[in-house]
Formats: sequence, C-alpha cells, structure tokens
Amino acid sequence: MTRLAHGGLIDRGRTLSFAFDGKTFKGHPGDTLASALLANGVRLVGRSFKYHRPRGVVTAGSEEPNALVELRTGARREPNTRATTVELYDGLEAASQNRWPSLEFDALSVNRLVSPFLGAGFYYKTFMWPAAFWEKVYEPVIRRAAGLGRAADTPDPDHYEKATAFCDVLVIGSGAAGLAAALAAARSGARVILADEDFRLGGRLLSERTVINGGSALDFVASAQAELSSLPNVRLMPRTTVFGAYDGSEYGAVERVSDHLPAPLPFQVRQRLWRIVAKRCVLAAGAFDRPIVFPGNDRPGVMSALALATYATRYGAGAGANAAVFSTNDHAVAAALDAAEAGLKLDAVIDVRPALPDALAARAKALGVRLITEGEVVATSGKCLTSITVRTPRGSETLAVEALGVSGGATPNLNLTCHLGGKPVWREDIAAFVPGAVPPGMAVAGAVAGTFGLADILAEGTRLGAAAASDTGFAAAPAPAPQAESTPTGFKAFFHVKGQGTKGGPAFVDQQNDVTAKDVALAHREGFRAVELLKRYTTLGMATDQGKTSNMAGLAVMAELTGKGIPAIGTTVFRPPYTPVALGVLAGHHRGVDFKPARPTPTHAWAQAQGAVFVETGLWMRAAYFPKADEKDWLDSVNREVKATRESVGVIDVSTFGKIDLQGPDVGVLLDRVYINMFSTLAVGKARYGVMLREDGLVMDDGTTARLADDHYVMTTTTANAAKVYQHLEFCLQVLWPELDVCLASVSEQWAQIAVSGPRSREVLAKIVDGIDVSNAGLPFMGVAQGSVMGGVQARIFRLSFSGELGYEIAVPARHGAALMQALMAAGAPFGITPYGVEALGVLRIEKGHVSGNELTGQTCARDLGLGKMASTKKDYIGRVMAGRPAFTDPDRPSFVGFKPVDRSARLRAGAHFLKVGAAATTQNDEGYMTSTAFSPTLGHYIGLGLLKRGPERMGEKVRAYDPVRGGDIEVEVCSPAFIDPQGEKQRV
Amino acid sequence: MSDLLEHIAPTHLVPEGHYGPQGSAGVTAHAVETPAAATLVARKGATARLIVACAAAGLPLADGPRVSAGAGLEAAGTAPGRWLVLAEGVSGADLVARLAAMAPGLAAITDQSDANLILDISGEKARAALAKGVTVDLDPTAFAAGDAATTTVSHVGVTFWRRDADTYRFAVGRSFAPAFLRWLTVSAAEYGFALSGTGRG
Amino acid sequence: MRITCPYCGARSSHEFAYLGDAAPTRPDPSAPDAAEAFHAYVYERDNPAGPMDELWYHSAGCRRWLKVTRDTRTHAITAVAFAGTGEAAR
Repeated sequence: MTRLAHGGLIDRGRTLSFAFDGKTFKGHPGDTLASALLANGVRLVGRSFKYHRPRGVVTAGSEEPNALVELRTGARREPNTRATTVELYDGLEAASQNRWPSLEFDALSVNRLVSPFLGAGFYYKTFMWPAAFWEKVYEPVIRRAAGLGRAADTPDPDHYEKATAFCDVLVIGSGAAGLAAALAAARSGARVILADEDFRLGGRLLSERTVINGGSALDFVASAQAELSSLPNVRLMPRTTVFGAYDGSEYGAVERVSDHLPAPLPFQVRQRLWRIVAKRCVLAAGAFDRPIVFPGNDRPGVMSALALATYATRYGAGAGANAAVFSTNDHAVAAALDAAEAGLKLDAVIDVRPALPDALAARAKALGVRLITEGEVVATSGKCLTSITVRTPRGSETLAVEALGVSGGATPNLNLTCHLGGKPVWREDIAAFVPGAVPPGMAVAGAVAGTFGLADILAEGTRLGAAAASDTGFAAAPAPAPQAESTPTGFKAFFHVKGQGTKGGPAFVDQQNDVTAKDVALAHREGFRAVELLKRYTTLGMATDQGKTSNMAGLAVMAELTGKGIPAIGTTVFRPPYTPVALGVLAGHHRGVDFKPARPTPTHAWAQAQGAVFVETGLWMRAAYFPKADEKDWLDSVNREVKATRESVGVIDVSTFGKIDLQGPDVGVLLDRVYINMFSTLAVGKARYGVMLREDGLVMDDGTTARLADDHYVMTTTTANAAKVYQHLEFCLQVLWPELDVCLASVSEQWAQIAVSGPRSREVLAKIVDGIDVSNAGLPFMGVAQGSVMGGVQARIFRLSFSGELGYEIAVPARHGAALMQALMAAGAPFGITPYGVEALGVLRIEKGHVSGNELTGQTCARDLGLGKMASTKKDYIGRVMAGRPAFTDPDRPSFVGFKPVDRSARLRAGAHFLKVGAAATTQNDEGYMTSTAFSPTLGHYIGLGLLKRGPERMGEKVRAYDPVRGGDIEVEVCSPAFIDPQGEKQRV
Repeated sequence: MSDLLEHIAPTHLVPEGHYGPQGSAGVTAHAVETPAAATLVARKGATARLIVACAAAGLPLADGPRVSAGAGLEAAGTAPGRWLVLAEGVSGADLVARLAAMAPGLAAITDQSDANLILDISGEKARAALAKGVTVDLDPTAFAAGDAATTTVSHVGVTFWRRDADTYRFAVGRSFAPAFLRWLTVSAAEYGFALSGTGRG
Repeated sequence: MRITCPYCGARSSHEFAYLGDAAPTRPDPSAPDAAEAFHAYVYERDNPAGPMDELWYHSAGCRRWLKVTRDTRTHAITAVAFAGTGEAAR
C-alpha cells in the first residue's frame, strides 16, 4: 500500500470499494480511479496500443495518454475512459485494455520483439500487397492487435440532453487565474459562468502549498467558491469540459451530470451538452507538464512530476514506495518538495541545471531530499519501475526508486484558442508556444498565456476578468487582486536526453501511439518533416489525447534533426473537441422515436382505431393502408381500397398538404408571376391546378389554388414542399417585388382536409352539408363552396380530383377533422365507404397519370411532365426565360408517358431504364427511366409512368425496361399516362 | 427515448399527470382550453396606421417582439407588421370579425384558432427546463415580462411570450404538439412536472 | 454562430436558411439579352474572400429575408438588415 499516512482532499472517514480487472480494492471519496489504484500499489494499468508494452498512470488530468480503461459493464461499458479523471464511487468496476489474455502476461507483447519492423509508416509499407489480403487477413489481425477498448454492444440505457446558457463572461478553468477572473467579473455584477472539467474547483491550487491572502491556497479556493456561490449572477459548472470554441462567441461544453455515480439518479441525465453563448471569455486552462524524451521513459512508475506531486498532496497517494524527480524547472522542484512535505518518500531531485535557487535548495536540504544538479536520467529498469540510471558530468549512478516524476517545463494548454484558426506563437524566453490570435472576445490568463508566477497569475486573472466584465457594460470597481508570494519560475529548455543510442531502451515521444524518438528520426530520413506529415506518418499526436503532452516532444526531436528550431517546425492544428465527446450527448433527447418530431394528422387517432398501418412521409405520420383481417398482405388491402374508390366511394385525410392563405389586392399578380399559368383571371369560387418553376426553369412544386374572394386566395402545396413554397413566396414579396400588397399566412395547421372520391361521393357529401348545393350545376368541377357542414361547422368544399373520379376535398377547422371523418363514414356507410391510405392514393394517381414527388424531382421541366401546354405566353413568370433554353426544349428530352408490360403478368419497378428493343445496355443507349409503378387493380396488371426520349411520339412502341440492380429486363409498351378515363369525363359528372 | 415516455405514443399528446420525483412540481404546464386565435398582418405600408387604429379600439399593438393586451385580446408580435392575437371565450369567427372592425382595410386577418396548442408554463424551475430547448436568453434582464419570441424548440417552431414574472405562454403548431410535450416532459421531469389540460391519454 | 435579426434579436444560425450572394438582381425578362442576363443571375456568382452581402431567411423566426454582411474568412457578421426595399413600409 502506498496511501500516505495523512492529508489529501479525500474523506478518509469513508471507504469505497471498487474493482480493477476483477480484483477488489478500497479507496475514499475524493479519489480518482488513478489515485485509488496508486494508493493500492497498482502501477501497471494498461498495455500500449501497438507494442503492448506495460504502462502506468502518467498524468493526473484529462491529458492522460496511458491509463485508459473500460469503465462499467454491460450496456454502460465505456472504453477509453481516462482513469485520471474518473471519480471513484462505491462499486466502480473497471478493466484494463489492449491485453490478452491478461494485463500481467500479454501474448501480443511479442510485438515488442519485432518492433524494429513496426516503426513509423509500418502499415503503409507492409500491408500493401496483395490487395485481396486487405479485408480478409490484414485488417482483422490489425484490429485485434491494435485497439483502444470495446464499446458496449447493447443500446445505451441512459438519457442525455442539450441546453443553452448565456453569460457576459465565461471563465474556463478554475485555477488561480480562473478564480481571480471569475471573482473580478462577478463582483461587477456581470453574469458569469465558471466551468472546470474537474469535479472540484481550484485547479493546481488544490495540489500546491502556497500562500494567498495570508492563508493557504485551499483556504483561498474555499472562500472564492463560497463568494461565487453566493452571487445570483454566477453559475459554477464543475465536471464541465468546454470542448470547443465556435463562431459568434459560442462555446460547446459537456457537463458530466451523473458520471460520478454508478448510474444516473431517477429522472436525471447522464450528461448534458451545453451551448454557452458568452459575450466575453477568459480562458484560464493552465498548462501541461511537459515530458522529457529519454530511454525507458514509458515504464510504469515514470510519470509527470506535477502529477506525482498532485497524487501525494491532493489525493494522499504515493506513486511508489519512494520516488525521485527529474526536472528542468523550479515549479516542478517546488511541487516535488510539496509532495515530500505531504509524506511522499522523495529520495532525490535530479535537475538538468547546474544550480537551483537558494530557497529551493534550502527547502530540499531541510526535507532531506538529495539534489543532483546537471543530472539526466538515461535509463530505467523493472517491469514496473525499480531503478533509474542518472548521468552527470561527474559520472553515472543507479538509484533504486519506484516512482520517477519528470518535468520538462510547461506547455500552455492553448487548444481552445486555435479552434477558429488562431495560430500559436513561439516564445523563446519560456521555450513554449503561447496563444497567438485568439477567438473574438477571448482573453487568456495565467499559465495558458505563459504567465507562471502565482502573484502574476492572480493579477492577470483579476485584470482580465474585470476587463471582460467592463467590455460587457459592467464597470467593475477595481478590486484588489488576491495577494500571493512570488513563486520561482526558473527553467532550462530541455526536451531530449541524447547520446544514449539504443542503450536503456526505446525513448518514447508519444506513449498513446507508441511513437519513439527513433520513429521521428525515420520520418525525418524519409522526408516526412512538415509537422502535418510527421503526424500522419508516425501517428504522433493522434487518438484520444490528441498529443496534449507528446506534441511538444515530437516537435523538439524533429527540430533537433532539421536544425531549424521549433518555431520553424510549427504545430499541428487543434480542432474541437478538446477531449472526446460521447455521441449520445450530441444526440441528446433526439434518439429512437424522438429522433425527429412525429406529426399526426387530425384523424390520426381515428385511423389508429381502424387498424391503419402508418408510414412516415417527411415528419408526418400518414395512414399507408387499412388492413382487414382476411387480407394476406398490404397489396390485398390496397387493391380493395382502390376498387372501392373507383366503384363506390373512398375517403382519405389530405391535411398534410401545405395551405397558404393569400390576401390583398395584388394576389392575382403575384400568382401570375409564380405559376406558369394564369390565376388573376380565375373566377371567385373556382380553383385551378398550377405549376410553379424555380428561376432555373425546373419545376418546383404543383398544387391547386382557389379564389375565395376578389382579394383572397388559398393555395395548396405538396406535403413535402410546404415550407419551401412559403419561403419562395416570401422571397418574391420581400426581395423581388416588395411593391406588391399581399399578406401571407400559413394555414396548414388550421385546416383539416379530407378527400372524398368515387362515383358515390356526391351522395355522401350531400348528407353532411348544411344546405350547400353540391349538384353538378351548383358545384361544378373545380368549383369551391364555402359554408358549413355537420350542423354548423365552418367548411370549404373544393371539387377536385386526384384519383380521376368524381371527388371533393372538404376542409374544416382542425379540431373538427376527426368528427368530419366520422360523419363521412356514417353518411357513406350505405355505399360501403372505404378509408384509404397513401398507398392507394398512389395507385389512383398513377392510374390517372398525375405527376407526383417521383416526377417532381427538381430535374424535370414542365414540358418533360406533359405540362408545357399550361404555360401562359401572355406574361412573364419565374423560370420562364430559363425554361426556354435549348436543352429544355430539345424534342429528344425524355418526356412523360405511361407503360404497360407486354407480358401482363410481369412486375414493373420504378428506377428501370429504357432501352430500344435489341439495343445494348449502355449509357449511350439510355432513353430515360421509369419514375412510378403500381399494380393496377382496375386494369389487373402492373402499370408504370416514366420519362422516355420523345415519349409522346412513340405510343404503342415496345421498349425494354432494364433494371440490372434487381435483375429486371422487361419489355413494355408505351401508352398514354392516363390509364383510366383519358378524357376526364368521370371527374366532371 | 426516456422511460418516462416509453408507453406514450409519439403521435399523442402526453397525458396530464405528474412526472418525475414525487412531491411538489418545479415546473407546471397547462394546456389552455381552446382560445380563439388569429394572425393579424398589416397590409403593405399600413403598419403604423394599423397600430394607431387598434390602439384607438383598445388594443395597443407592440411594434416588435412583445406582447400587449387590451379589449380582452392578447397580441404577440411575431414579425414586422404581424401579430398573433388570442382571445378567450369567443369563437374564431368572432375574433376575426372584431379585428376586422377595429382596422377596416388595414390588415389581413386569418383565423388560427385550431392551428396551435396554447400552453402556459410556469414554476420556479420553468426557466431551467426551458433552457434545455429554448435557444433564446430567458434571463429576466434579457427577456422580461411582455417579451415575445418566435423560434424553434427541440426542432419545433413556436411563438412564446412571458405573460408575467412566472408564466410563459407557448403557441405550438397543432401537429407538433405531441413532440413538443415529449421534449418538455423529459426536460422538466427532474424538477417534478405537473401537466394538465392534455386529457387522460 | 449567432445572427442578430433586426426584428427578433440575436438568434442561433440554425434558425436561418442561407441563400447566397445578395448582389444579383432579377433581370428584365423582356430585355433582348434576357437569356444571357438570366443565365448570369441564376448561375454566376463571385466567391470573395472578405465581407460579402448575403441573403438569409429567418425561417424559424419572423420569416423575413435578411441581408447579412459576413466576412467569408472569419464568419464575422458586421451588419444585418431587412432585404429588399420598402421593408420599413411593411
């Protein structure tokens, strides 16, 4: 056990039990999984991605490259969870990854023996030939050998949601700079959000023994948190990772609402996605402890020096029974001495510099910590670390230690500053990239800005927090910055222990991707020197950690090789997300049946009671057909519905059509300009079918528009294009012809509309109207009547026909839709009135030869669809000029006709292409394609509609309908698209 | 999908009842019984005259996204020269006639009494629940009593306004009401959610 | 991204539909060169790097067409106005 005797922000009074790889351990509230494992002496936590090398915990934060585990089991199993950020809870279960059969003995660690062959670019070079081996041999083997954990294989049982927050000042990071910024902004009255990915606010202040405002750092954190919590204008968001900066001062964040619990509490989500709209942002994301590249630097027990210190001070956990630190900078030495004060047995501090500041040297001496100056660690040994070899100008020696903390200095965590294209800039004085151009409204404070001394950090945070608030209109009374001693910030730029050759084992640059200094050298030799090429060739900086700790080391090694210096190498581009984001939280509430809204029609419940089978049409749920018990399949039902409608009467809910109310003196003018045919001449009380084009001459939509009064029309659009047509009309009225006096209102939701079709439809209608004359004279074809039905329900009755039969569409206010349907069913009972669905609707319109969505593809012009003759030559209209282009008037263009199979028993399929009989099936011989097909119960065989080159001139000709995808090759006969009643007599009776 | 909604068809209104932890409700929603509604749209160039005429008839219209009340009517601005007007206790036809009489020749008036579900949402956690779908800033300093917005919530188009300190009134398209209520129910359940006026399901 | 609609105020860009360059105006359909002019109106677009006037439709809000001045390099929006003329006279 390496739990220190006392101290740490853990609740030693309570014990939590958890399991790792099936073995049970104990920890305390306040632990992370990583700290609890270290406290239990577990140093080996995973195997590496490629070589399956044993690996341990390297960091104490979200930048962790190594300690990735599978967390939880069953449906909640989550791979690649960073043990360093997982809060311990009672009953936690975790398992190591990338090992087979066990973590202690991994069969694939033989990869290490062949590692000379697995260097950078290995996949590109090896698995090239033969091509057939890719899918069958190489890929499965590679996938088994190299993976990063297993996802759950059953649906996620938890819920997620999205929310939006607004603030004046968003502060990201709650360390010294962030707390100071939040306090300064909050005291001015500005709305402040303080977000931190940690479950506890305070950042590095939780791990360091410094004095602020005369008290401990922890006291400062506690008082700052208490003050912020008490202010109504502040929202504290711990456990919240701001993962992206977006245009317009928007930030994306994930709040881990329940990840610290075995399962979410009832009615709670697992995670919440936040869109934070912030007028200003202070980024106080701190810095990463930079690793040093040296032989054997990936051995379990070797870790970040600041992490080593954090485990000791914050978590009361020793990373080993004894430890040493290998450093280049004062901050790491001070942190190591803090750890020693907390009870970690720190044997030595090895620093590359010739001397340390007197204060640090004196403190080390007082604590009995040996200082080795001008020292470099050149080798390590043990499966988990047992000893290190230290080289100084004075000679070499071996120290027996179980833990080695390494610090090469600070790498500012500037990820979010780059999301809108900002490029980091190199600061030679601190040998680090700092933010260059930052997103608009963002300021950077503290270590992320390259400001390292505590007093300076607090001052900068205070200044920028106040400035951000002031920018948003809150004149902050200049509050004094929290006072702190000036902490030492000396350092030496040092990235890479050289002169060891291959002695001491591989020197890792990127532990997550198993990239060594040798791989970088290979990339250099082979010409992959640009930073983006280096990344892709070696995989340096890829995967879950995106090179947070490794990128700088890789750049430094490449810079040494090229001799150009780090700023000339540059950095790769940082993109969102900062840390991985679960897909579930991006979906939020919108999964399963809630993926998109399901819109019921006014008669939905009635149709359900009739046993209708529904189909999604866009967002609408529409009845597809109404099966009866004795029917063996859907086609039986559809055939019955079609026959009943043709022979007697059928009803269908057509409320899904778009309906637009148009009022004003210029409606007729507008309609003349948007439809190819005339509407200003339409008589009041009449309706007309219209076709509208896009300005490029192709058909946009079709539908019927009725004139209710001189200055009042109502337009119907197809279900699919309702919103698009409304937008188009607004474009015409606001942009093209703002002088027109026309008022629009969508009435799609206001009116239920039911079509009654068939030879008996007039008799049915007559029974429900309140004294409206529905005779052929009183309400002729394309006539419109306004009045009431069912004893006082306001109604509009349109005599229209989509089926080709005598038919009406009756519109009533939506709340009466279901009652209207029931009234029609009752009135039609003596005639066997039959409800039909969209399947039968489709058959009826194909039999009649009406175009629909399959023909209105956005690639057809009016002439293609046989509608060219409707176009008025007396006026201009949208699309007229472009529809006159030669290609659109070419007689060779495929045009709308009908098709019957020569063998009447054959089945036709939409999508088949037409070929001349005897012609080879080549693209050159293609003459068009079948757009719609149906089995016609009226004719007793399949029928089709389609676009055929010079179709209308080829009546009676036989062509092939060729469908290689589904094995179809059927001879069909060209015919009129109107399979029934081509003269249109039935609808006019 | 939430377990809460597992047995509720996505095409049906979420039935009235209490959702979430037992105890008091942090969020309350009530479907208002069939108020009459109409869109009032100023004719070309007539917005100012329409506002004057309506004010004279007792209905002050706000020239912006705000709600106003008078003459027994409640009018929410939805676009320049456009309002959604509600009236309780009258028919849609009556409302259309009243508006036409207020401003003869100045506006197009369209009955919308059946187009929307009208839902009053209130409670101390109402703002927290609404933040899970409303992408407009609801802080009282940004959206005060009387302010109105036409926007989308959880992929559903809505017009809503803050009637008073506590209550937000939402107009949701009739066919989108089931989806809106599903979103509201899962979003409000953690605070305790009392829903009424939507029937027993 | 947020777009400040002159009527509705600042809104998420999700509420808007994008059309494109606001510069082209519908040609005179009766002009002798109408075919060429319409070809340019429908198809020919500049692709400037920098500020550009664009048409956006506030489809989920007030349903007004807007002229939005956006820098295509940075997405910074510097002005939003109602599109077309005479909007103020609505």
